[in-house]
Amino acid sequence: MRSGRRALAGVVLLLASACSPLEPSQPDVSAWQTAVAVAVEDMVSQLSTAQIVLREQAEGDFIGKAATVVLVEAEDAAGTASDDLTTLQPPPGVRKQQAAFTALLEEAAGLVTEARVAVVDDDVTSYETLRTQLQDVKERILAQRGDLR
Amino acid sequence: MKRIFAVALGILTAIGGFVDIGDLVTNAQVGARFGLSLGWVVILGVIGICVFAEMSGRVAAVSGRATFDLVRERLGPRMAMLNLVGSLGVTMLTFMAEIGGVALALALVTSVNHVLIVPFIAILVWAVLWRAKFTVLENVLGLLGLALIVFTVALWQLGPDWGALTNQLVTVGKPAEETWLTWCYYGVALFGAAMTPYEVFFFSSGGVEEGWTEKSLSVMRANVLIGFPLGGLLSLSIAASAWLVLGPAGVSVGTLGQVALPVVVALGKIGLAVAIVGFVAATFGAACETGLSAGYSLAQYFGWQWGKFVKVAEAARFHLVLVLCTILAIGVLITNVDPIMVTEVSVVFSAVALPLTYFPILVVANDPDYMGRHVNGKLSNGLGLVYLVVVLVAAIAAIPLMVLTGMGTA
Repeated sequence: MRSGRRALAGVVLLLASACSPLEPSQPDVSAWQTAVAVAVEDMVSQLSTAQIVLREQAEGDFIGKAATVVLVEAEDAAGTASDDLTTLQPPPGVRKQQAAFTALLEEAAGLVTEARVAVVDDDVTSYETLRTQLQDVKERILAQRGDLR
Repeated sequence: MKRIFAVALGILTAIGGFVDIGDLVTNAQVGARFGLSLGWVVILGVIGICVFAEMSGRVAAVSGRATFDLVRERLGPRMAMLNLVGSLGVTMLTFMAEIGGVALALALVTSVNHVLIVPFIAILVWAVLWRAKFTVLENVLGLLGLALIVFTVALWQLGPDWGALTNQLVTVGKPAEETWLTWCYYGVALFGAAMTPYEVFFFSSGGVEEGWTEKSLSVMRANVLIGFPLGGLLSLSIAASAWLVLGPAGVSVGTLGQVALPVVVALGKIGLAVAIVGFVAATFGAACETGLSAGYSLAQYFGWQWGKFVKVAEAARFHLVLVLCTILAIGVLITNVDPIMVTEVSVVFSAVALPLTYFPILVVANDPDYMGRHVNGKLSNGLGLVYLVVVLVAAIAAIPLMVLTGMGTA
């Protein structure tokens, strides 16, 4: 799990931070682009997961609380992806792009949360709209990433 | 008739017991990202585990002693200690991953946080190891693990382009957006998942538990040479169904729920229920096997009485090891460490520890003093040596690839 890998990386960073001043990570442009790519990939994965869950839940394909559990996990991972980018110190020259990505990922994470709320509330009527919104934000994120290349 | 039943049961339990949390997660991750383009690694791993399981089973049947029991005697205490430390570390990681896997599977249906479930599962595993008969443990969990055939049914139901899947399997290639370095990293992880060290310790010690003799060799070979490859087909089904459902959507697998999604899409509610039974059986069975393997390897190294074929009081230190392993697993897992991450780390370190496990088996199986007329033939030796080179390459490459690819995220 990406968040798990980040936890592992977090332990390493924690140890490293003991030897360095408390500062946000300041990647160069190349490292920033890599961080954005990872965050985007994670977010797209969670958006797609939420779309599949909504579609299958509408058809009654889950048992017990499985749909909710999968969405809660997607929500956690989406929040982590968004936070990882938000807390990154952007290198000079990419601050505008950083702001655009941050806003998009926050919107995306919010939509995954909305999907989870809808499933817990059993609000089946909202599933189709949410799936469309999830698809829309996913396409915008991918388009934004395309501009980066 | 009784013999046919024994062979059939052995094959079925070998299939059902083949897949564990490492296979579930790694095959789904690799399948979603690479399709079947790394399927050849599964096939390579299955042939490898067949070669070494057959050797270790033969050693157990002919000498009446488990592989680890002979390692110290044949290779000396230093080499055996190196073997012990490496394989025990990986086995413990796998033990934790399996217990975490059972908890995740149950959390999927109950929505109770897996951290709260972990202590109950770990204690249940220990209770089963303490009280249940070895054959009951092996047969019941192995047969329930057959529920994972639901992934093969799901694959069929998804109606894939079989030609395209076969083409992926037989050609060396990768999706354009992936790097060769990441492809290699996942290749090593898949290999480590297929050839986990605990499998041979459990297999050979289990042979001693069940009282194998030279007469058991044909049944043992049928179990290994038919059961394991069919178990490998389950692994390929998991990868292929993940490719069909998760690949096009760009889902990178990070949870057990995502592993199950292809079954949900293909077979709905009933499919999911069967898959969860399979998850629980496969991970619970593997938790029992890894727990026992930890006890077997320690007890066999130090020369303590071991096994479930003797009374608990006679193998007190062996059972104490099981208790300590259970406590350690609970202690680590309740820190909220992600069991999927533990799994990912365990399959990579499995690859690192492979030579330590397989080299001694090859040495002992080649020793006529122990093996008599059942010493390795040319075929076994040839395959054994080829695989020794393969496991060495995988072991050397594993950690650099893990670092360079950021555990596959690059």
